Amino acid sequence: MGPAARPAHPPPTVLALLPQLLLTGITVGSIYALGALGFVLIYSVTGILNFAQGEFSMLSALVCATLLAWHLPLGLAACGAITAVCLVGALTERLAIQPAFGGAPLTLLIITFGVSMAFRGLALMVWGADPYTLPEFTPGPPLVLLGGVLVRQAIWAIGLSGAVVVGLFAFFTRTVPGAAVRACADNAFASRLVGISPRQMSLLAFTLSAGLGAVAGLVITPITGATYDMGLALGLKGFVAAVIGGLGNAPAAVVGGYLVGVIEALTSGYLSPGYGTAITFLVLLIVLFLQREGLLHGAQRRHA
Amino acid sequence: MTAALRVEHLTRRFGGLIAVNAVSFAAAPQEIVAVIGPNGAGKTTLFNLITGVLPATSGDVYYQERRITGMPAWGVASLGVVRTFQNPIIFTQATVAENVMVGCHRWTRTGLLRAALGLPSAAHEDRLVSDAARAALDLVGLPGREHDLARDLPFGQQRLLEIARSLAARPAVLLLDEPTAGLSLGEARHLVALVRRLRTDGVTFVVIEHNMDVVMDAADRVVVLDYGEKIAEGPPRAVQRDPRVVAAYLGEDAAAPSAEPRS
Amino acid sequence: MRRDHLGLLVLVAAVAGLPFVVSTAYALTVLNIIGLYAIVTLGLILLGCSGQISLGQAAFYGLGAYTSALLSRDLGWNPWLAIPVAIAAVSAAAYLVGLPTLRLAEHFFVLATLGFGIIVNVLMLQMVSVTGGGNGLRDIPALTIAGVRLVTDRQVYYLIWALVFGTLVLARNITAHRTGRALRAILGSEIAAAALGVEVPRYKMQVFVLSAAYAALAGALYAHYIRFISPSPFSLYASLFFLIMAVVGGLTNIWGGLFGAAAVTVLDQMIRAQLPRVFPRVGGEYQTAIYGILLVLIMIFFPRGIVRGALDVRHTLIRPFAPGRGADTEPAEEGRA
Repeated sequence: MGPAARPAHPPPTVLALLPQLLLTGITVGSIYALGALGFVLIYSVTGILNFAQGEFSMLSALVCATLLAWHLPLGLAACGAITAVCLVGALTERLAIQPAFGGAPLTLLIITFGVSMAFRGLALMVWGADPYTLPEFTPGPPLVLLGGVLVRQAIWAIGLSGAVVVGLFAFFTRTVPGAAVRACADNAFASRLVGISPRQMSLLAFTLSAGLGAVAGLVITPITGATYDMGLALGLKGFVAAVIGGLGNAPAAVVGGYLVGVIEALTSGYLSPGYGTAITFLVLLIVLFLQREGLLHGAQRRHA
Repeated sequence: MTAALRVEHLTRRFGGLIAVNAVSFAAAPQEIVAVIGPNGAGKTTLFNLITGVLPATSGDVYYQERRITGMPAWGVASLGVVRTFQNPIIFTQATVAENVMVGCHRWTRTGLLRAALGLPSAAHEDRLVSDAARAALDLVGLPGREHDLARDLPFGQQRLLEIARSLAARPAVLLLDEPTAGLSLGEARHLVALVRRLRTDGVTFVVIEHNMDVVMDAADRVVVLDYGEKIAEGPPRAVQRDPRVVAAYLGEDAAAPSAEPRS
Repeated sequence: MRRDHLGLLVLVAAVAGLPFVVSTAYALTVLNIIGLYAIVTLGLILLGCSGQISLGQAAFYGLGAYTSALLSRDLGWNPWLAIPVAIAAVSAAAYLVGLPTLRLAEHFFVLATLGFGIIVNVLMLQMVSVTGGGNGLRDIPALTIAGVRLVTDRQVYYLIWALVFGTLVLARNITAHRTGRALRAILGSEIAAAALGVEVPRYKMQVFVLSAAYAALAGALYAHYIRFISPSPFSLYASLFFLIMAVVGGLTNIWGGLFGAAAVTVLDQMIRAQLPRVFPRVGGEYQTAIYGILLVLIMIFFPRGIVRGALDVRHTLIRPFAPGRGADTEPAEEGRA
């Protein structure tokens, strides 16, 4: 023991943060997974990249908040919000997508951008710029899990999104309308020949995706709050997740969602929150570049 | 004698499926070679391989004995190997004349700098190109429609437009993919006469065709593909009687030696 | 061609005379901004002529601004040197970005530009030591001609608009002649264009770099005009704004670039002035709702821009049974045989 000795404190290990970041990442990731599924659903059935996907989440959260302010019980408000947003999705499809159906894909892409901007602006007008919140589904103290802290709502987020995903797969594989959607996604032209209407499938896809987005919005808002502009970031990240999963592949999109959530959490934790978005898009770019597409492979899919 | 176009053991695999299997043949200069075979035989895939649209898994393509395997599509075309498509791909936003003028791209020279500066040579070239386009349209039988929008043309005329466009490129080898499909009898006859005339002017033709009258009438030599393989090659009459060819089109039972194939 | 030249002369004369008619500082500022936006939009339209759409144009705009600002402010370069060097640097960056992204299919190219734009914007915010972060860069030197600093709106006006017309003529020349035909062929069908010998990758790269150069020029001018820059004018919203201008003018219409920039900027100013009266809440991004709806309506009814759309409507009225109006039809695909 020398004269200048100090008790040794080991520096907090980088690894100590890891479990918490992972938990946060998986929580948020489950939301991105829902958004990614919505993207893939619409893309496979119609070939359209729906940039308004995130706005569905925003709208359901804000509608639910309003319904709660009108003293509806949470369950009813939630169902009301989801129904309302599904309706919005259907209306969007009829009013904004159908008139341009069969147009160049870039035209439709720009239209969905326009729709997302419109929703954002309308939300600002109706609900203002302040954040809203929803109560936790089951109030209570947070859980301590595997070295990290998990609020109860996070369990709802992960669990509910998982249930929705499973339910969706069951729908696709075990019901006739679900099979019709899959057929349309596989080969719209052939589906038309057997009597499946691509326009109806498009409507169904948008409505379902709106529902997916609505659930995501409801389940995440108790944790992060809701504002009129939350849709853009959610939509973009859900989209990145879908692309990572290969855009046509629903299970991979789900995995992609969790991946994006975790990457974002790790980056925000270890670098800085601002870089989270940048890194996510960097991952997107890398994935895009690694997809080796020849001239023919990159050619447009056949749509009826 | 050097072949204008030579294909050697050209193969294309898609995962486990072999779309084109070690196909070899050659087209002599100014020859008209017909490529026939049942649907799904790999004919268009063969064209895609030759023209660089699709990379070959193995094998080689030679243009005037120069190896062009692996060249990008635009490189192959700029050498003089031009092709048309099974369903005509026309530039829908442009007029008929503009469509054909694009064909002149490979033998004209105005690049970005010259165009940007608006040099007189660019305008002069435009006049040459415009005249060449008109001539090509006359040749295929679409006179006077220069200013119509390409997408307003009926299907048969769109096909003729595509052919005019490829002629405007002054090709050395022209690969036509089902050129008479969708044409009326008169239009088809006119096209065959045109092909014959162009051949004497120096163009080599490789033509995918389903119309057997055209094949019998115009082809010097026929190459038959089935399931990606070349199963026969030779003058039209000989191929017509080849039992393997009959079997491919009509099934094994019809391949009796004396049976005349119908098509 | 004659009519084109005449129209151009009339426009130049009108623009030259305008500052004597409208001479308020506000009006001149708006006109200057329209000029800058017109240059950026022209770049987008050049890109559009080859069938590509970029959602990252604001990133190149911003890179031009920051590069020129940093060269002149921190390294003491004369702005007249900083601007061309900034343009060259951004063009080089665009070349590097283009190498992997231009070979992506349509949708994916758009998304890659989107990603690029967001990444650049985030870097602008985060690299505080270089860019000043959210606070931006102040005290950017102004341009000087013969000892006179160009600081008033009217002084900068002539410079900006001279460049607007220069870039306009350049763009018009490029989209005429063989190069224009090649670009439009690529727009129509890359496969068919390649089958005719058009060097598709090279043309796509050329217009991509050029569109970035245009944006960088506008950005550099912006930096030395306003003399203060921050990351916010270079965000995704800005890229969407430019896209709207291009769409209003017509994605492939060179003249439309000028029209679109002017129309949307004026509209934006009017909306910002009027909207707080209708919705008296705190001024925010209300106009996004209007722009969103505008975008949707234009893409549905006038996908070739307002001017062309109006002409198309007239075409339809005159020839009511002619097929095809509005949305492009997909080119026929080659099947398998």
